[in-house]
Amino acid sequence: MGNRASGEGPPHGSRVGSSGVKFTAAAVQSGQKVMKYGGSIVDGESSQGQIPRLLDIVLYLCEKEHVEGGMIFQLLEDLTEMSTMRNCEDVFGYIESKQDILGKPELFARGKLVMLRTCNQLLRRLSKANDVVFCGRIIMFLAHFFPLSERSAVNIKGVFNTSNETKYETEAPEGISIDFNFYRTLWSLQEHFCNPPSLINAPGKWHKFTSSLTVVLNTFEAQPLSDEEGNAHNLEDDAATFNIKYLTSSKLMGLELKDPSFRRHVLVQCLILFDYLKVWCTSEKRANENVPNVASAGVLPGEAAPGKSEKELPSESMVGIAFAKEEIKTSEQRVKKLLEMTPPKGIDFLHSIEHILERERNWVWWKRDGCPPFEKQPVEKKLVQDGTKKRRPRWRLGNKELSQLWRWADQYPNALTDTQRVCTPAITDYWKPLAEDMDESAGIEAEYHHKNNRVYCWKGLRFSMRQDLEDFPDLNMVLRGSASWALPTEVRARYQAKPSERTKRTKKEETTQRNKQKIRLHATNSSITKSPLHNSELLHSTLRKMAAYAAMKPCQPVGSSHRADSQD
Amino acid sequence: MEVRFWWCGYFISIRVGVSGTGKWLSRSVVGDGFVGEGFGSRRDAKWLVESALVPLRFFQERCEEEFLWESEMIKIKAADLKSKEVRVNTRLLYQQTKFNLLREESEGYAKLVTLLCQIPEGSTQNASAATVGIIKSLIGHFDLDPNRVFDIVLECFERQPCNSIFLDLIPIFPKSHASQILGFKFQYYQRLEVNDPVPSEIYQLTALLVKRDFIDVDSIYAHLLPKEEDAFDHYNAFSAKRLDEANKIGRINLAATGKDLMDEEKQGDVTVDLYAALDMETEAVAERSSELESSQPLGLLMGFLEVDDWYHARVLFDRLSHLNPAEHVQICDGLFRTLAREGQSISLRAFSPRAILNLFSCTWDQSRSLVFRVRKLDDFIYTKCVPIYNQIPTHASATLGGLSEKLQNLDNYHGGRW
Repeated sequence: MGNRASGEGPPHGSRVGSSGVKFTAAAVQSGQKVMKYGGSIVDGESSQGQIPRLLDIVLYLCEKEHVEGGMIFQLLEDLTEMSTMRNCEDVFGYIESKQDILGKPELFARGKLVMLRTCNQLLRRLSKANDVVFCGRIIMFLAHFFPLSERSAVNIKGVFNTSNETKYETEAPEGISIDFNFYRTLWSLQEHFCNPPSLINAPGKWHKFTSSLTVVLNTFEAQPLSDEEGNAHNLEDDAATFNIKYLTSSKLMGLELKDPSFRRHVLVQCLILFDYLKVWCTSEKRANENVPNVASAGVLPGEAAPGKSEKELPSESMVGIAFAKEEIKTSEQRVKKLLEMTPPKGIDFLHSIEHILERERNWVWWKRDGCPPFEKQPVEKKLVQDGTKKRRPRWRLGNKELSQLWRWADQYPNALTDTQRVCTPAITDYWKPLAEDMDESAGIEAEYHHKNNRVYCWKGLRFSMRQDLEDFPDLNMVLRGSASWALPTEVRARYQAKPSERTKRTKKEETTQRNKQKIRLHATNSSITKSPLHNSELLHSTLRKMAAYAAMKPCQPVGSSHRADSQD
Repeated sequence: MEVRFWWCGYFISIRVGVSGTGKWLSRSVVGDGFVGEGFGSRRDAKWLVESALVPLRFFQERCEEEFLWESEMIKIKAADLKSKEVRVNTRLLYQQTKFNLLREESEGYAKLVTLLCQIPEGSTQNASAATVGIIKSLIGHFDLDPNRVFDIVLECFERQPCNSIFLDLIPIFPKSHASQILGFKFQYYQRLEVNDPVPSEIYQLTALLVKRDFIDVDSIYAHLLPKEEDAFDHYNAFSAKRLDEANKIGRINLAATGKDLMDEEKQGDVTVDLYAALDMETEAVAERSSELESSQPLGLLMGFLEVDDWYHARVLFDRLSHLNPAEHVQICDGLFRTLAREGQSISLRAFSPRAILNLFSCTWDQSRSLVFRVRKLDDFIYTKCVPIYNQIPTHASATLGGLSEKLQNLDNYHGGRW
C-alpha cells in the first residue's frame, strides 16, 4: 500500500506501459519467452524481440529527457512483476546490460528507489536454494549500481543473519553406523554461530555451546587428517561438488569428517565467533567500570560498551566473564592448533585466517562509528602532472599557426595559387584605417587605433618597405613602440637600450610634440576635403607630407635622435 | 474500498467507505445472502468477526486503518499502525539485506575465506571460472555484501601476490569501487588509535593493482596521507632547521664576555663542535627515516619499485621530488635494484632533469655508484650528471668542512637551481 506512489508516469508514459503489457500478454499467450517475443528468427538466430526494442526506445527517450526519467524504471518493475522467474532472468540480463546508462546521475536519481524495490521483490521471489547464482547477480548488481556508502546497504545496525538456519535430523534413522549423538552435537553448533548475541544474553546457552564445542574439538583431534586426504583436494572437482549450504544428511557425516574443507569451515566459524566474543568480554569489563553505555540495544556489544547485556547477564558477574574469557582463550588455542594440523598447508592457512581477522577490525570500527562513507575523489588538477602527457605538442612547422597553414595548403591546393589571392594591396589602401584613426573628428579612442595592432603594423611596414621606402622611417615614428622589431637589428638594439630617466622623459615630450604637429598637419588636410578617408590620393599625399616633414630633420634612426636629445 | 473474498463457498464483497458523519459499511452478498440487509456500521463488521463468520485477518488485510481502529479490530491507534506500515514497507522494499562483517554471517564468510585461502597456485582458466561461480553463489545464498567480499579477495591477493587466479577474480567487482576499498585500508592506518605503519604488503598490492590497470594512481593517491602540501611544508621546515644548525658550526661569539662563556646555560652562544655536528647529522638522518614509515605516498613509491612498475614509480618520483625521495636508503636501494634489473630498457632520458638531480640527493656513496651505473647505461645522461658529480665531496661527512659543504650543497640544490 502506498509503495507505488512515486514515479507514476505522465499520460504518454502509461501508453507505453500499456503497449508493454500488451506485448507481455501476447508473449505469454504464444508461449514464447517475454524478452524474445516478436523478434524475427533468421537462420536460427533471433533478432531483438519487441519488448527489448520498446525498452530501448523508452531508455533513449529518458536519457534525452524527452520523457520523465523514472519511466524506464517503472516499466522494468512492471515487466519483472508480470514475468515468470525464467523470464525475469532475461529482463534482468537486459537491466545488467544497460547498467551504465541507468546509472547515469540524472537517471539514477529518478529511479534508484524503484530499482531497489524491483530487485528486493525479485530477491524475495527467488529461492535461496535453487537460484543462488541469480541471487548473487542481483546483489552484485545492486552493489555496483549504488554508491559504496549507500545507507540502505550497509546493515548499519549490525544485524546477524539469523534467518540462516541449519536444519538437521532429530531422529536417528534405522541402521546407521555413525554416532548420532555426535551428529546432533556438531550441527547444534550452527544455531549459535548464526546468532552470537544469544550466547551472551543467555548463560544457559553459553554452557551448552562450550560443552558441544568441546565434544566436537575432541572428535576432530581424535581423527586427524592425513596428508593424502588433504591433497585429494582439487579446485575444479570442488567447484562441481561445492555445496553452498552445509549438507546435514546423517549419511554424509562420515565423509564430511574426512573432508579438510568441511573441517576448516567449522573451525573458521569458531574463530570468527571467538573474535566477536573476545571483544565483547573486554568491553564488558569497561561497562562494569561505569563507562557510559553507548551502543543501542546491544546489537553490537563489542567495541562500544554494551547496553542491555549487563542486565541480561544476571548470574554472571566479573567472575563469570573472566571464566568465559578463559574458556574462549583455551578453545581458541585448540582450534588454531587443529587448523595448523589440517592439511594441506595448515600453517599457511591459519596465518591467512589470522590476517583476515586482524584486518576485520577496520570494518568493525567503521560499523561502530556508524558506517561513515569512506570514498575520496581524486584531486582533478593532479591529473595532468603525468610526465609524458604534460609534454607540449610538437608542431611540424615550428608552431601551431604555421603547421595549420601548411595543412590547409595540403587540403586546398588551389587556394594559394588563386590569382585573386596572389596580390599585394596598394600601400595607400592599406594605410587607410590608420589615417582614419588619426582623424580627430572621427573621435576614435586611442585604444582602438590600428597602430596598436602589431600584426597590422608589421604587414604595413613590410609593404612600405617594398613599395614606398621613402616614407618608411616616418611611418616607423608613427608606429613607434609597436614596430621597433621591424628595424634592422643593430638599430633596434640601440633603440631598446635603456635610456636614463631624463632621456626617457625628453623622448616622451618630443614624441608627443611631434605627433601633435603631425596631427595638426593632418587636420588641416582634412579640413580642405570633407572626406579624406575615401580619397586614397589625398591620403597618399598626406603620408608624403608627413615624410617631407620628417625630412626637414636629418633622417635618423630613432635611437640616434635620442642621443641628440639627451645631449642638449 | 471494496473487500472481496471467498468464504465457505460464497463470494462475498463488502464495500467500506467514509461518509460525512462517520464510518459505514455496506455490503452486497453474492449467492445466498446469509447476512441480512441493512447493516451498515462498524458494529456490524465487529459482529461479523465475533460470530466467526469472517476471519479478523480478512478485515485487517483489506480495510483502512481508521475503520479498523473504530471497529476495535486493532490494538494500536490508526496513526501508529500507518507509521508502522511505512516502516515495514521501507524495511521490506527499500533496505538491502547484506552482511558485511564476518560475524554477521559466519557460515558464508567462513566458506568464502576457506575457498580463497586454499586456491593452489597455477590454477587453470576453468578453475578461475569455477571460483567466480562459487563466489557469486555464496553472495547470493548468504546475502554477503559484495563490497566486503571484494575486500576479502584483496586481502587474500595480498597474501598470495603471485597467484594469478586473483587477476581473474578482481574484474567481477566494479572497478570504481576498487580504489575506494583499497583506500579504506590506508585510512585504517591513519586512525589515531593505530600506531603501526602500513604494512609493505599493502603498498605492493596497491602497486600491483595499479600496474595491472585495475585502478589508477590518482584515485588511490587521494586516500594517502600526508597530503603533498603538508609534506612539503614539513620538509621545508626540516631542511631549514638543518641548515640553521649547520650554520652555527664553528661560529664564535666575539661579543661574549668571560662570564657568558662560563655560563653553560646560555645555549645560543655555545658553538657547535665537530662531534655535536656529527651527532646532529645522525639525528637528522634518523628523523628522516621515520618519514618513510609515516608517509604513505613514499610507501607507495617503494611499492612500485618493489613490483618493477617503473612507469608509475617515475610519476611518483616527479610528484614527490621536492621531498628528495631517493635520500631514503630503502628507496635508493629500490631504485638501484630497478636500474640493475631493467638495464637499458629504462629510458633515463625520459626522466626529468629535476628527477635526475633528485637521484643524486641520496647518500653520497650511493650517488657515486649510481653515476657509474648510469655511465654504463647511457652516455647522454652521464654527460649531464658529471658536473653534479664533481660537486660531491669525496669524504663528505668525515670532516666538519665536508659536512657544512654538504649542507650547503643541499641548500643549493633545493633553493638555487631547483
